[in-house]
Amino acid sequence: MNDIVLEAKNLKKYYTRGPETVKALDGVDFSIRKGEIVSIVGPSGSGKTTLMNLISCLDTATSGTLNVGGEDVTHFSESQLINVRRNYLGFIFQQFYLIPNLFAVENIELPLVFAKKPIDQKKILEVIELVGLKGRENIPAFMLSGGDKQRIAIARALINDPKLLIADEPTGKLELKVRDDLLVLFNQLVKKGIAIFIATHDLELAGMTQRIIHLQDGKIIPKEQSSLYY
Amino acid sequence: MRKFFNLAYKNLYRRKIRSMLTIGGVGVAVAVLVSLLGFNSGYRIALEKDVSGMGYQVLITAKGCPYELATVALSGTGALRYLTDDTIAKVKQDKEIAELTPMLMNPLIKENGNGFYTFWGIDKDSYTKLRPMMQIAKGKHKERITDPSSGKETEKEIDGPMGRWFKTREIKADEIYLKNGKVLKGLITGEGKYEKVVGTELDPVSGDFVQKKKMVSTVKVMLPSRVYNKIDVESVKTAKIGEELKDELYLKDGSKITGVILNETKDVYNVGDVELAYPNSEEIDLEQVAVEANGSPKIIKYDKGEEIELVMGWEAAQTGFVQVGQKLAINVKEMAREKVKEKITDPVSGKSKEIEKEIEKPVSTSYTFRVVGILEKGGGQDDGSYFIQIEEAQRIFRKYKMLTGIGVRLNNLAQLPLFTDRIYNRKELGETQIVSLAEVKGTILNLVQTAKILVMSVAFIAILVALIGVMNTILMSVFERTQEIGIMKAIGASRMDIFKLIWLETIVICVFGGILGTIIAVVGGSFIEKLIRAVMSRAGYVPAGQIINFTPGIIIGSFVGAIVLGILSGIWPAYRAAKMRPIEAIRSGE
Repeated sequence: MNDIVLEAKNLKKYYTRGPETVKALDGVDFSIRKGEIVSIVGPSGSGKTTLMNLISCLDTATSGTLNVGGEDVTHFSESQLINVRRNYLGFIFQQFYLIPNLFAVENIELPLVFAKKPIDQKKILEVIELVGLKGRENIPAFMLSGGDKQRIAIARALINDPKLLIADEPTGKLELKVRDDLLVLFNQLVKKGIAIFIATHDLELAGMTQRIIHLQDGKIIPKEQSSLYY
Repeated sequence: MRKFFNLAYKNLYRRKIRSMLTIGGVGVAVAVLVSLLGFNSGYRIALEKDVSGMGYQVLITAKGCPYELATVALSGTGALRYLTDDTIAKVKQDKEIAELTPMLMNPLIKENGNGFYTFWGIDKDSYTKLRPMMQIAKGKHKERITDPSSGKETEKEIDGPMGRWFKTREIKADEIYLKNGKVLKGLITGEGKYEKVVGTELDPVSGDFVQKKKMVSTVKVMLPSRVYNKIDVESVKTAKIGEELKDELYLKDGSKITGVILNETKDVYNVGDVELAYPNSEEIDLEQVAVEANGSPKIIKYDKGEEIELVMGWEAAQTGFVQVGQKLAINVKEMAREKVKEKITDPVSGKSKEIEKEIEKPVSTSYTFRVVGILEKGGGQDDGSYFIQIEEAQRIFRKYKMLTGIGVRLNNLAQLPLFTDRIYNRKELGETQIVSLAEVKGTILNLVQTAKILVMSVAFIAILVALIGVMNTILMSVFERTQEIGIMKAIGASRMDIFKLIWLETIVICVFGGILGTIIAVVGGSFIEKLIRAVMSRAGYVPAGQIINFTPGIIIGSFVGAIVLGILSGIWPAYRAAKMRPIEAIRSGE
């Protein structure tokens, strides 16, 4: 049981848009284990982003339970959610979202600054080496290539020793060569026991993960029923 | 926290031009505030220095508008009214007087019309007693030495006092001996002629009565006379006082005035008014004047045309490159009265006749002095002034026996109200006014206060504009960075972190603005001082010292003010940023 990093049970998220209720997520059940790399695919409007937001602790569910690191975060307060984000999760975004005029290393430190943790230079160096950014850490982020920006983003996500890395379209803006490097890096991380949860449109990328979750109309469906073209 | 600062600083640096402009806006507002506060404290200090530099606590002058008096007292310009110098002796009788000194201030308009030479006729002994800071300057300087035998001037370098005070000379009044045995003492200012009506006679041709006229030669003389209202006069006696025959006027309030009555029929038309304390200019018929054995009128003129010794204020000497020992000619414009004849035609009878009219017109005049001393720099109005013996001033400026004021030090300043009452109740002093320098200061500060309120409200508006500017800049950068803020929240920033970050940015802007503004104010202070001086000198009195004074308190205060400004203007944008929901924030750019 201790292997489970994330577990969703009958997770629902409803929005009211005017008179109608939008069922963005309508009873989702799944779990992710330590060292597992899972992708979630689905057409636009399937509830992918909503699910990502919920497991990122950026939003709260309407009903159901969501266990992150063994705790049900569904009814967590804002500050409790922040603590989960700071200590348990790492984020990688499609647009990288670095602070352009901070040095690479300063961008990587940012989660430590916000978490009021000491700046551990050894740890930073380790992460920089891991993502293959050594030698470029003291360059302002806006001067780096897309691949390096993504490396910074990953390093930033790893600096807090997350148990779960959440990646939203991590390869969307990258060249093929860089994408392959990224997958190699992901596999390294998985070997270290980090679970990775990837939301993507890229079926090829999804195909390289251990498990694919198909989402459609707010529900998990079997692969065969998916409207996505293989 | 250091990392937060770094982050805030780098965020501002990212938008260099906008941040610079905002800092500039805050800087200007702070500069205005610092200058105004500096002016506020500096003006008061300069005024107090001027007032305490006076050395006397009370000034007795002829009655006039209090602000005018204040201006005259402090700067030596303005409309002048005069006392006669017999007031000194009368005031001196008061038991509360510790020291007094008579003064005649005479501004001379420079020939080019560009400002004044302020001349002070002073009684050196009593003046320096009341104002011990009036010292002859010391130091290395060049002096002009005139060889008494050859009259040749040589230059000599001297290390020591820059000359000396002028020597007090005895200056006698000119004398006119009248046929009736009385002697007029005054200042002879010239000669004149006028047509005197000696009677009427019947014109045998026209059958009209016409006036019989005769040309009369006169001597013009200034006399220290006053006109007293007849209803105030009890009786008149003529007595031999010393060598001279004099009239004694007994007033109803019990006081006695000694002098020479020129013309008893000269009435004051407004019965009930006690008129004037001005010396009169009279024209005396030579017919009334006694004749010497050789047939010439018995008139003794004292003026021997001697050199007048002048002591100059430090600045007056420096700006005029004046050396001790040199001759100094001062060219001025003066208003002179002149009699002109004008022909007018009677519109009814068609007869034309000549009338005499007195007109005033500017005349260029020159006064020559020998510079005998230069005064130490005092930082007050005295630095730009010229000092000569009061009797000399009265003679050359034709202000015979006239004073602009008497500076008084009382034994006990607390007795001032009683002293004032006593002086006001003495009718023989004529119309006088007693101004304490505390009052003068108050009057001026009141006037300045009004201007200050206006200017302060301008500063307030400047600060308000700066506040809105800062808020706008920060709010814009918050909106521009919506996604970034969302990400920061996603990677662990709390609301408080975001609030702190944005708040820090505003405070950084305001701190830099505060530094810039203080630099602008201090560096540009002398320019602002010149500007204020130029504007205020048109309105009247400006203290001589530095009128903008930056104390550490003002600078620290304004700096703290700038930070408070930052704190205030940062609250709203920081709140907006903190309250952003991360998901929407991140999505907003997609």
